[in-house]
Parts: sequence; structure tokens; C-alpha cells
Amino acid sequence: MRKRPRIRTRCTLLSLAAPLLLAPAACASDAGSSDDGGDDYPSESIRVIITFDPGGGSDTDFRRLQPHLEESLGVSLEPEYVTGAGGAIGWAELANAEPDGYTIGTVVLPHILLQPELIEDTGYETSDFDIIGMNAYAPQILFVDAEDPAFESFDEFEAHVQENPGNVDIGGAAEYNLSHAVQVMLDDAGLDTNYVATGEGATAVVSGVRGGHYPVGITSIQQYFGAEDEIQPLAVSSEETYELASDIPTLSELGYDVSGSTNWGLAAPEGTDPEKIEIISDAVADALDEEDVLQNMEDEGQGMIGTGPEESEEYVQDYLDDIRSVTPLFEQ
Amino acid sequence: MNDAGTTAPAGTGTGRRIAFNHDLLSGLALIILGSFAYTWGPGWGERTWVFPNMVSWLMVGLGILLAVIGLARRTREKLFESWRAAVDVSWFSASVLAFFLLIPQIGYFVATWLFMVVQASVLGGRRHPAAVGLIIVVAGLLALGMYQLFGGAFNVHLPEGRWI
Amino acid sequence: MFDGLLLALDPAHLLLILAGVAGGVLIGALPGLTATMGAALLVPFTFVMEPSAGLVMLGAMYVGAMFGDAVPAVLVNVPGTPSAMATAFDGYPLSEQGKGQRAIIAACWASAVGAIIGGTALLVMSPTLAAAALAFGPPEFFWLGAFALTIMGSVAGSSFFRGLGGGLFGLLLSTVGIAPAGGTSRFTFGFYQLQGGVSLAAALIGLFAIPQLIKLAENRKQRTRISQYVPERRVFRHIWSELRRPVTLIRSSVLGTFIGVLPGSGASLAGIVSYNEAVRWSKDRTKFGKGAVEGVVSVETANNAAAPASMVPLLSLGVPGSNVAAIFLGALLFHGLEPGPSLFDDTPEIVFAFVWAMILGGIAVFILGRVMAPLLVRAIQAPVYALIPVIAALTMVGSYAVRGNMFDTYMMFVLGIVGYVLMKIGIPVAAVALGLILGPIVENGLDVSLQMAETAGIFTVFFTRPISLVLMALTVLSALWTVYSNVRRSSRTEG
Repeated sequence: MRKRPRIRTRCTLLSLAAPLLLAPAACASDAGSSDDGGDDYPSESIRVIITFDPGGGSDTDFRRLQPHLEESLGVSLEPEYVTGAGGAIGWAELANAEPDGYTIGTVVLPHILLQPELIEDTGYETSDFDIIGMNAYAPQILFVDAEDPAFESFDEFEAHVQENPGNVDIGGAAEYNLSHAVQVMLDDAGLDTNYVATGEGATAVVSGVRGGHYPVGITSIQQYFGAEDEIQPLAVSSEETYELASDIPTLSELGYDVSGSTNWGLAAPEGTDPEKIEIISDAVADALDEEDVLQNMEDEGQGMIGTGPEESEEYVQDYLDDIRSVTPLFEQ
Repeated sequence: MNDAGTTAPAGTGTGRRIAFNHDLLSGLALIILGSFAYTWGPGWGERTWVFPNMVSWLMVGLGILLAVIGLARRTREKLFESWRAAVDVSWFSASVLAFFLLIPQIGYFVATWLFMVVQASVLGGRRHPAAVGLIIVVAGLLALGMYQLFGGAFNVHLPEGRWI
Repeated sequence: MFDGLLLALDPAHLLLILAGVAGGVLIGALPGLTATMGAALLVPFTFVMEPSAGLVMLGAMYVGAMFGDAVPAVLVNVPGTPSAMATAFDGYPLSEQGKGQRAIIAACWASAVGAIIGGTALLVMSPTLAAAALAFGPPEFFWLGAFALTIMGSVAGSSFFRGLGGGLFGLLLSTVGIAPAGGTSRFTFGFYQLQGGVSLAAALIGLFAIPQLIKLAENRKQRTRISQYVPERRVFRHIWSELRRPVTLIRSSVLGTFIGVLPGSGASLAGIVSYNEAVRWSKDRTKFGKGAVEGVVSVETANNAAAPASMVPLLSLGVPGSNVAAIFLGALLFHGLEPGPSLFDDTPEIVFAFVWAMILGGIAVFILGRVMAPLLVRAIQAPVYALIPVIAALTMVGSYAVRGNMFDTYMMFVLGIVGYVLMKIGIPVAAVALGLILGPIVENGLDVSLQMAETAGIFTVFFTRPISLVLMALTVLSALWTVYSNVRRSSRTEG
């Protein structure tokens, strides 16, 4: 069997390692804040560009950190919602902002990797950002309506698709996003379905499946949290069993070597002083230790990544390599 | 049904007024816009262009219909009272544009203050120096008030210039 | 249910409702600021409050914002948020006739009634409505949008065909940017800022306000004031005489409730459809667009009924149906409340307090509007030379506030000039705005339906689904009726 392309995410590994990574960071920031004479950054409020509407994944990820970051940085963080084009407008804004440390923004993988590759005139390149840290991740689920499930299990779904190749609709939020990537990888691995992009976000996918407009949907596992009675997952796209929902089988357990997850983080425009990035990233690392932050992540169905600037560069690079192996599949 | 679909407004042009047929003008505008929009895309066939292409074809079709109606009717509707009015309008539009273009340079506050004072003086005609003083104060307060309201209460920071 | 009422009537909560409504009215009234933004700003404050207190305030804020946006629409022809677009159709003419006070108080009335009816529907028939909303799939949205497009006839002004042309131009404008479900950019002219499309809020400010400003400047010699203030003593009697037959109120609230429930379509669509039906069922259609109180009432009732109704999918399905609902979802989760059917079982008093807050918010809107209307109307008594610069500055601030971006201001201005030119050649800007609002609904419905058709076949997707069939029939009937009535009207004026 030939090796199948996949989006490899190191989340599970990294989230285990997170406490180790955080420990020295936390010490550093303690030392820094006590006798830091020369550098008075930050001295005024920091603008935070959020590229999706209030209430979305990026907003949630930032909002739970906000009070802790404000406390440790000693200045206010002012979110600004620059939305549109699946986040691209806001990222172009961030990429073109003054790299003085007073403008940062939320970033999402794989969006900031896929958009510059697949869309003309996005207005930014992935390399336009210096990552402050990747904070949270969430895998995708394949799901059916819980009340009137089109398929009782993944096996049943698989059998049905094999009988009717290319003739089963599977709803996702948009084209060229992670859901679509997972679908094309499954397609390539022999599960030939018809991807229906709703163009209206994850909640529309859930409504579409629940209303019976397409039998199966694919979206972030976050949609499942808080809707356990309404939708029934068939499979999850995490590399290993997803701790927050350990009863859902992973795609690899089901015989498909496919995985991938959405990742949320913070970034500054390229060229921002590494010391300033360090200061923010230390504050983020501290915040990721707070009880209420962890609780909120769990409630939202997100897992923790917790990588600092350097690890994040590497992390993003690895993600990019995986993405590059998937993009040719979109063309087919 | 075709020609009954439009009604000509009563005022037909005379003398120095600038007048033209509405249907003919809007028909031409639709034809130009529609064909421009169609040629922008890759032509018929691609899924994401189905809708814009449909719309641009309809625009061209409707434009031709309107142009024919306009030619058949030959009524003329007033566009401007006089050439003078048209020039006035251009000046006013240009001043608003200048105001918007100045903002990134000198900041919201100064630009708005300046714009309000200039416009109020020009539009209002000549008047007593005391009135001008009042305009300057009120305009400053309004501009500042809006800046504070949006910045303070709604977190919308209006552009700042080099100084303010 | 009544525990919830008691909880909402708690003095502290009543105060929060008033504060929420006042804040909401302000946010709605300032162009460029929307209820979504207001909710996002309020949420952090609600974190430190009791869950019920926070939700009560959010609910009241939402209702307040839905009324507030009518104020600038009436006074200066700039809708505060897109959902008040149709309010301007008749509200501004009323204002020009010196009847601004009447228009605002009518809007207040209508908003209060709409909020109360929408809120009641949320209280008593959430599960039914939610099930109905789920039955709406992409083909249904396509037909719903197509149905709403037939409204072009009632905003067309002097010429039906030119109105249609304006609508098509609006549809074309709506396709600017990245295609809804794909990666293709369309008509971006190399500007990355256009990838996200023409910002609706900014575009509406440009289309409505700039032509109006230029017109004021053009005619300032003849008209030194927008309107002459006529103190009206019997405002209520006038409004009451218009509303004696509650048909408009009932029809508009029902439409507002149903359309508000549908995920993603929201208050703007509700207002437009409701306005169209008010025109269609009126005996004297010619009065609309020239200052018909009934027009203002139909829009405001519907968009305020849509506000509570848009919470139906959230509270009974756990799926947020609008941006505001998505923020409320965050607030609910923060307080450890799990949205969905269980919410009604586990913590009914909090849900009911929230819903009651929206209803009471409607009443607060009424009181507040009644007090403020005379003051507001006096504010536009200022001479034109003073108003023009203030409104111009407001268009700048409003368009900038949408995304914190000067690009939107420039785009707003360009569209404003285009709108002025269109107005001069007899194409109504309202039709352009309508196309811009409906474009995404129609296109996305069409696009997703076509994707579904790849497995099911075009015929099955478009012509065999029961709701689709009904909507399709309505669309065809409505289009025929529009053409017929326009032909009749014009032959009458000519004959």
C-alpha cells in the first residue's frame, strides 16, 4: 500500500509536551517583569486584529486569553474585527501593519497556508507573519444527524459510498478549507464522495445535515461540543484518539491514513522585534496555564498546543509541507 | 407590455437646462457595465462564474431593451438645472473626496474640523465674524465628540495623523 | 414562564434593560456600528454579572439596536444598519415633509409591537419554528431570495425596467470578492480589500447618504432646511388612524418572525419582504415611497420581530442563526449554560428572563423613542449648510467603523458617486441596495443547489422539494403581478 498524503499535526504530541515547554517560559517572564529597566514595551494599548466575526473560533481563542494578557502586560488589548474572505482581509491588514509590536492578530492554520497558495491577490504571504505562538487546535469530525441518522456507523457510511461512488453528498463550510482537504484525502484514499460547500460557515453545515439536505457533514469538532444530542460523529480526524471525545474512532483506526486539525494562534507582522514577541509569547504561555483558560478550551472542545515563537515556526513549516502534498489533490 | 413599462416624468427639457433621455442613458450604462462584467470573467462554464455571467447577460439584454424604448420615446428629462449647477456639484464632490483623502495624512480630527468649518462657511455664504467663530468652536467640539465617542465607547479608533 | 417574568422585573434587571436599550439605540443609530458589534462589546461586562443579568442586558441591547437604526434612516436617509434600509424609503420623505416626529414615533410603536410578537413567538413556539427553519435548505433559500427580488417592482419608482436594471447592478456588485464557496476572486481590480466583497454597511451609507448630500448641496439655494419643523400635537391620533386596522402589524410581525428564524437571512431580508407585502396589499400603492407611515411601520415591525426570532435556532437547536446569536452562544457557554433543548428544561427561568427582557426591551424602546423623538427631529432643523458637513463627517466615521479601514470609506464614496449618477439617469439607488443585499442569498442558494444537483440531478433539487415548489410558485406569481400592476399603472398615467 502506497503512502498516503496527510496533514500531520503534532498537536497531540505537543500538548503532552506543553507543560515542559511552559515551565521555563513562565520563569523567564517572572524574571523579566521584576527588574526590566531598559525596555518599557509595552507602554500603550495593543491592537489585536481578529479576522473572523465575534463569537467565532479566533475570537474565542483570543478572548479567553485577553484578561490574563492584559494583566501581565499591564496594557489593554483592543480587539478589532477585520473580517471577510475567509479571514484573508484581516490577514492582509495584519501583514501590512507597522511591525512595532502594537499590532498583532489571530492566525489560523491551515487558512494562512492555503489561501496564499490557492487564491489570487490574497494580499499577504504566509511568511509575512512572525508567529507569537500557536495556542489551540481542534480536529474535524464526519457526522450525521442524531435524531434521524443517515448512517449508524462509519462502516455503514463507507459501504454505502463504495456502492455509490461519487454519489453521496458531504457538506462542508467552504472550498479549500480543512474540511475540503480531509474530504479530498479521503477521496484519494478510495472514499469517493461529492463535496458540497455551503459557503456559510460551520453552523450552516450542522443545520444542513440536521435538516436532511445532505446526509453527512464535515466540520470542526467544536460544533459537537454542546450539541451532543443533536449530531452524531462517525469519525474524527485527529492523529490519535481525541482526549475530549475519546469514544469517537479516528480515521486512521478506521483504515484511512488521513488526519488534520485547525490550529489557532497569535502572530505579529514580519519584522517585529523578537524581544517584543518574546514578551507577548511569555504572557501567552502564562495565560495558557490558568485554570479558567484550560476549562474554557475544554468546554469549546479545543485541545492545547502551546508552542512559543521558535517551535511555532517549525510547527508551521511542517504543517506547510503536509499541506503542499494535499493541494495537488484539489485540482483533480 | 414593453413600452408601457416606463412612464416619462412630466418635465421635459428646455433652454439651458441639461436634459437627456433617462431610458437611453440607463440602457447604455447597463450595456457597458454588463459587457464589461462578462468579459472580465473566463466566459461561460466555470461554476463560480455562473451567477455573475447570468446577471451580466440580463443586464445587456435589459440595456438593449431600455435603449430601444428610449430611442422610440425621445422624451428628455432634466439632468441639471443649468451648467452652473453641474459645476457646483462637481466642486462639492471634489471637496468631500479631498476631505477623505486628507484623513490618512493629517488625521481624522484635524481633517474633519477643517472640512466642517470650510464647508459651513462656503455653503452658508458670507457672514458675521462672530458666526464664523461659533462655527469653528462647534465644529471642533463635534469632531472631538465623535472621536471620543467612537474611541472610548465603541473601541473604534479613528485615524490619527502625524500630530493628533 | 412567569418566574422568568418576575426575574426580569427585578428592579436591578429593569435598570439593566433600560441601560441595554439605551446603549442599543445609540449603537443602532450610529451608522457603521451594528448590533453584532454592540453585543461583542457588551459580552465582557456580562462575564462579571449574574448569568441572568448579563443575558437580560444583551437581549435588551439587541432590541434597542434594531430600533435605533431607524432614527438616522428617517432623519437623514442613512440607515443605521442594513436592516433599516427599507425604513428610509418612506421615513425620509416623511421627514422632508416635516413629519419626522410622526415617522420616529411610528417606528417606535412598530418596533415595540414587533419585539413583543417576535419575543412571544420565541417563548411559545420555539421548537416548531426551529423545525421549520431546518427544513429550509439551499434550494429553498434560492427561491426565497428570488421571491424577494420581485420587490424590485415596488421600489422601482418611475420606471419598472430601470428599477430592474438597478437591481441587476446591485446583484453584480454583490459578486465582488472571493466566491462564497470557492477560491476564485471576482472583480477585485487588484485590491485585496475587495476580496471580502463590497462591505454592505459601508455601501449602504454611500448609496443612500452621498447622493442625498450632493442633492442637498445642489439645491441649497432653494432649500435651506431639510424640513420645516411642525410641532405635531396629535401624533398619536395620526399614527393610530393609520394603524386602526392591525393587518400591517400582524402581517409584518409574522413575516419578520418566520424570516428571522431562518439561519443567516436575518432582519434585513425580513424588512424588505415585509415592505414589499405592505405595498402589495395596500389599496393605495402610489403613496409608498413618498412618506407612508404604513411603510415605516411594516419594516420596523418586521425587523424587530426578527431579532428575538433569530434566537430560536440558538435556544432550541443550539445552532446560532446570526452573528449576534453566535456571540450570545459564547455568553451562554461562559456562564456554563448549554444551549439547546435542554436549556429550557434545566434553567427555564434564565431563558425566560432573557426572552422577557427582549419583550420588555420593546416597551422600553417605546418609552425612550417617545421622549427622544421631538428632540431628534429638532436636531435636523439646523440649516443645510451646517447639516451637510456633519452628515459628510458621519458617513466617513460610519464607513470607517465597519472594519476600521479607510478603504471602506473610499469605496463608500465611489459607490456614492455611482449612486448619484444612477439617480440622475433615473435608476433608483434603493433597487441597487436591494440587489446588493439579496445577491449573496440568491447566489449561494443557487451555487449549493447546483453542487447538490451533481448527485441528485437538477430537476430533483429545484423542482421536487415541497417548500421549494411553494416558494417557486410564489415567485412566479409575484413577478407576474409586479409586471401586470406596473403595466396597468403606467397605462393609467399615460391614458
